[in-house]
Amino acid sequence: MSDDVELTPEEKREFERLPRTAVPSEFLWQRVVRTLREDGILRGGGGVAGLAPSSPQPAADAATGPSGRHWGPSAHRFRPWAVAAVSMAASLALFASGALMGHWMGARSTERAFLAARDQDAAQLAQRVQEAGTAYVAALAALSDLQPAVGRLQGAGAAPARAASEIRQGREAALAALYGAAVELSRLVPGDPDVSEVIRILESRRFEGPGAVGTRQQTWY
Amino acid sequence: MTDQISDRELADRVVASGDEAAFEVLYRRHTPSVFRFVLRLSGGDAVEAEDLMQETWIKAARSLARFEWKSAFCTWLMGIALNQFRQLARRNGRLLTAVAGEWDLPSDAVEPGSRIDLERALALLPHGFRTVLVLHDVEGFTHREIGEQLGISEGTSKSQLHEARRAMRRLLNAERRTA
Repeated sequence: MSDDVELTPEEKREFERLPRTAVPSEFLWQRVVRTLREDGILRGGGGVAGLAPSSPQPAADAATGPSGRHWGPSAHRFRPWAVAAVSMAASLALFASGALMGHWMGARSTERAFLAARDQDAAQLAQRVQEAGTAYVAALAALSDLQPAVGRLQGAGAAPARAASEIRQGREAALAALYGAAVELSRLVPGDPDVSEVIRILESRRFEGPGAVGTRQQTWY
Repeated sequence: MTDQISDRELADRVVASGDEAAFEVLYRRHTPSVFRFVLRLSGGDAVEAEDLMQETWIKAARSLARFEWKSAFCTWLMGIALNQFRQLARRNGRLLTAVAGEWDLPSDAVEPGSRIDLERALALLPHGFRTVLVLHDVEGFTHREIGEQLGISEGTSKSQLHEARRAMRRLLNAERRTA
């Protein structure tokens, strides 16, 4: 490297080689669109002729995106699917308790929860797992209790149809959370055959029909 | 299909009817490059970069009807992003136009026996150095443009770039100093 203030050709090449794109988390889109809907700038739905409903993010540089090795400790342990799973599980719990889905816990607070978890000791984390697990199971139980009543009302109007759809979403959220938990568990207890089996079964559902893990893009907020 | 629709046409649809599908195409078309820009300005802090990106899009959407299309849409977005970055720096008391005191290599910047790459070096620089390097050497802004964007003179921009490049070279050539 030269001591001169001008960039050397080698340095110029290094700058030119720097990645030009990075893909943020999908939660960013959800946060933006939610705010703009609340502002009345976006009116939802879309579907104008000539526009695909959702074009995928460019794949370029995804590997060196926010989770890549350059991006510091705050991003290293981020797992987008895990954020999604926990976020959906939280929304599910709220749904089951009758609150407005997702209004309490948006993507942002979930991200912060992930970052905050890094600073807890083992005892705190173990307690957190226990509490979250209890909430998860309780929410699923409540959802299961709702299902028969909703089923009986099918065909009786828009509200039961919406509730049935929301129960299906809840089931997908539960599966996504289950998958995320199983993957983390496999890191905690490597080689555990039962955990491996759970992951195998859930992954086999990924490309199957409705209810498959991670096959839908949902906006929960 | 969506690549054939111009930014202006998409923006017009958003302004005219709140067309969310049109907005989504704009978002997905331009977010990756603007996000990389703010991620780099933020020294690789993904959480901060997403916050900046969110504010950028919200600001852009609210101002879309007033955009006069004298520049490319992406250039306009980057200007908004840079402005958001400046406001955040001001709120957090960060210096973007100077580096206070003599800057020295962080003691833990480089692992023993290893070297760091340019991206990492940029992230390790003080905010003031990193900002001018990213704007000039990565994004190709002129000193005049940097001066206008950061509210400094061209001369200040040049001298800051000079110091920033020296700092960057020290980082790139550094091996961890033993205590």
